Amino acid sequence: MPLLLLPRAGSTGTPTGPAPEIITEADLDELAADAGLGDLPGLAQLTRLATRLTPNTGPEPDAGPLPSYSESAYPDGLDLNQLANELDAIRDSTLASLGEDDAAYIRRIIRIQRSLDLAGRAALLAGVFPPAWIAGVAMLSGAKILENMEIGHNVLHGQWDWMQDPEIHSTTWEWDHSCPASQWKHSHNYLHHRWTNVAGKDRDIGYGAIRIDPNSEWYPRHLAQPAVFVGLALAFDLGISLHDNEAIHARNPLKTDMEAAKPKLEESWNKIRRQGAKDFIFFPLLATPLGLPSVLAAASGALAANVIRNLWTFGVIFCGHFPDDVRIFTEDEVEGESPGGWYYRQIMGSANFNGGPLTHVMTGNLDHQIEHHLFPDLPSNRYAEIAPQVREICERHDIAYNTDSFAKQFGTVVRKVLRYSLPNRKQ
Amino acid sequence: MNGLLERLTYPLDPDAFRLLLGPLRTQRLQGVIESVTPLTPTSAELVLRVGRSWPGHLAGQFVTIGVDINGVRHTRCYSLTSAAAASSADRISIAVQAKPDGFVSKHLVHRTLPGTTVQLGAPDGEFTLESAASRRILFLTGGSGVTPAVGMLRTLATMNAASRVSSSPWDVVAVHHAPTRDQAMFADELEALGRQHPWLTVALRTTRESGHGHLDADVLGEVCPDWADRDVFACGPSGLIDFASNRWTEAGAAHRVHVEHFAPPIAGPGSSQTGLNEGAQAQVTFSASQHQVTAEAGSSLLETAESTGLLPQSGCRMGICRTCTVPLVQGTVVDMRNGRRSDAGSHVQICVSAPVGDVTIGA
Repeated sequence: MPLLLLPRAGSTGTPTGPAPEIITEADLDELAADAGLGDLPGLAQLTRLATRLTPNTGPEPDAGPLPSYSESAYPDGLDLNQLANELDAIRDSTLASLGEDDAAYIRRIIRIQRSLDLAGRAALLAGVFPPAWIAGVAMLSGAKILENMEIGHNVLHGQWDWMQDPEIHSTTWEWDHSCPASQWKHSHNYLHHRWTNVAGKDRDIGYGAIRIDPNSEWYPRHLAQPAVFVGLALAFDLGISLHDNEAIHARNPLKTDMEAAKPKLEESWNKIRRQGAKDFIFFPLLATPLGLPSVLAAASGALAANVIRNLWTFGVIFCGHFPDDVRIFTEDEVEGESPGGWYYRQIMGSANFNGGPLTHVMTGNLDHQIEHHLFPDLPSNRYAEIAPQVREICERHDIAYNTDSFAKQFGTVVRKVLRYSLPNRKQ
Repeated sequence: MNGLLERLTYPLDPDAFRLLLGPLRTQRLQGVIESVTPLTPTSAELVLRVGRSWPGHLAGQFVTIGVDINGVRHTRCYSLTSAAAASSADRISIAVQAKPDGFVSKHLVHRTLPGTTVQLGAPDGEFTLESAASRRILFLTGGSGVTPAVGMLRTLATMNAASRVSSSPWDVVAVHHAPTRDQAMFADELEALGRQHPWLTVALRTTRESGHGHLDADVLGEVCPDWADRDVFACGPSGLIDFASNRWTEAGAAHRVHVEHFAPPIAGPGSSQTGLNEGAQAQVTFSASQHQVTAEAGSSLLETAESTGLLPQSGCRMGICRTCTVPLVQGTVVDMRNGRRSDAGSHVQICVSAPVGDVTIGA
C-alpha cells in the first residue's frame, strides 16, 4: 500500500500530481504548513504521515497518478525506497552482529602493523646489506600501507568507534601520513563521502589537478596532466596534505589567497615536518654508530617505503572512482536526493576491483569501494562478506555493479587521463 | 630521551610499541585479572596484576575499570578492597556484586576469565581513612557497601601488624548488613579480623534471618553505645546513608560523617530535579554524531543516548569522574543530583544530567 501513496522518492523537481486523497484538507493544510510543500523531504514526510494516518482496512483508495517529473537522475522503474530498505537491512544486521571477533581483528591488525614497522626499521638500520634494505623497505612500506588504509582511513571514518576504546577512535586517531587527521576527516569523510562524484562539490574528482570528467572545462594546463598524474602518484601524501585547503585550489596558483590558505597550510606543514623528521632525520640518525653509509641506507629505505605507499594508495584510490562507467553527477541531479537516491549514487559513483584476502587487507578493503561508499562507517573487515548481498541487490534492481581486475580498472583510468588532457572533440 | 623516542614513534605514543611487549609494560594504567574468587553466589573478589605505572591508592578509594564485553568497552567504578600500599604494589583487588540488571557487574562476577586485560583509571575518592578526624571509627555498611570498609580494615590490619606499639590506638566498630549470611560479602573474613584484632569489633546483622531489624536509633545505641564520639563511614543503600547523616547531624557531629554512594542520589521522575515531567518527552540532538533521540522523563542524557545505540564516552555513571563531560550547545539540562540547571554554553556531565525540554549536545 505505501507504494501507491509514495512518490518516486529521490526524483527531483517539483511534484505536480494531486496530493493523496486520503488525508483531509485540514490535515493537508496543517501538514503542508510545517512540512513546506514543494521540496522533496517535505513531501516525503507528508506521505509518511499520510500513510500512518490511514486506517489499514478496506479497499485501497485511488491515490491518483504518480507525480511526474521533468528530469530524473534515475533509470525508469527503479524503486529507490525498496533499494534503500534492502541496503538499510544489510547495514542494520551487520551493526547488530558486531562483537568480540571484530574487535580482535582490528587489534590484531594494529599489532601486526606496529611489529612490521619496528622490524622494517630494524632491518633498514642494517640497510648497507642489500637483502636487509629490500626486506626493510618491504616491511616498512607494508606497515605504512596497513596503517594508512586498513587502520587509519577506517578508524578515522569511525568504523571502530562502537568499541568505545578511546585509543582506536575517530576522535583521537592521528595517522602515519602527511595529512593532518582533522583535515582528512573534513575533505574525505564530509566533502567526498557526502558529495561522492557530484561535480563542483566532491573535490576528489581528479583532485583538482586532473581532468577526469569530460564535462568539465578544458584548460591548456590539462595538456600536462599525464606528468601531473605521475607526480601526484609519487608524492600523493603531500598532495592529500594540501587537498583540504580550499584556498590553494584556486584555478590560477599565482592568484592564491595566501591569507586564507595560511591556517590550514601551517597545520599541514607541522604534520609534514614531523612526519619527515621521523622518517628522514631521527630514524636514520639511529644508524650513526654504524657509519654514514648506514645512515644513508636507512634514509633511502624510509623514502622508498613512503613512495611505495604513495604509489599503492594512489592506485587503489584512483581505481575507486575514476574507471570507465563510473558516473559523475550534477548538483541539480542530487537536489532533494532521497536515502535511496544517495545509495544509488554511491553505487554508480564507485568501482571495485577483484582480489583475495591479502588484497582486502592491503587496500584497507577499498577493493570493495562500492560497499565502503554505501556503508562508510561499517567495519571494513565486513565488506567482503556483505559484497555478494550488495551485488545481488544491484542485479535485482538492474543497477550496474562495476568490478574488474585492478589492471583493467587502472588501465581505463590511465586512458581517461590521457584522453581528457586534450579538449573535447567538436560535436 | 623520551622526547627523542616520541619523535621516532610520531604520531603514536612510545607506549603504543611498549604494548607489544605486554599490557603491564606500558606507562598507561592497565591491569591483568589474576583470579576471580566467589564471595557469595552473586559476588566475587577480583585480583588484578598491575604494572609499574600504578600510582598506589588510599584505603577506601575506588578505581574505574574499563572492561571489554563483546568488543565494547564498558567503564565502571569499584572500591578497592586490597590494603592501601605505596606505588610499589604489583597487585590490587576489587569486589563486585552482580546486580540483577547489572550488565557489567554480572560479566565481572560470572564471566571474567583470568588473563583478561582491563583498563584502569587513577584511584580516586574522599571516603578514606585519611579523612577521619579521629582514630575512633564506626563503619555502617550494607550489601556491597562493605567493600571500601574491607579495604580500610585490611589496611589497618597491615599497619597494626607492622607497628605493634601505637601512641593512640585505633578503635574500630564495623556494623555490616546483609539480607542473609549467605549473601553477606566478606562475612567470614570480617569476623576473623574481629577475633584476631583487639581494636576491632564486628557485628554482622542479617536482616532477613536472625530477627535483626533494620538499623534504627535503638539498634545503633545497642551495637555501638559510644557512636556519637566516633567518625562514621557509611556506605550502602541510600536509607542507611541517610540514617547516618541525620543521626550524626542531629548529634552535632556532621563533620564526623563520611559517606560513599554507589549510585547517584537521584530524586524520582517528575520531581523538579529530573527535568521532564512523567510521560513528557524531549528531543536530544547529538550534534557531532548527527543523531537525534527522544528522551523520557527520569533518564539521564547518557541513558538516553545508550538506549538508541549511541555509545558516548562515560565512566562512573554517577557524576564523579567527568569522563562524559560534553559541551551543551542548546537548551537547558538539570543535574539530577541537586537540581542545578545548566544552560547552553556550559559543559555538562551527561551521566547525571537530564534535559529540560529539547537540547543539543556537542557529542
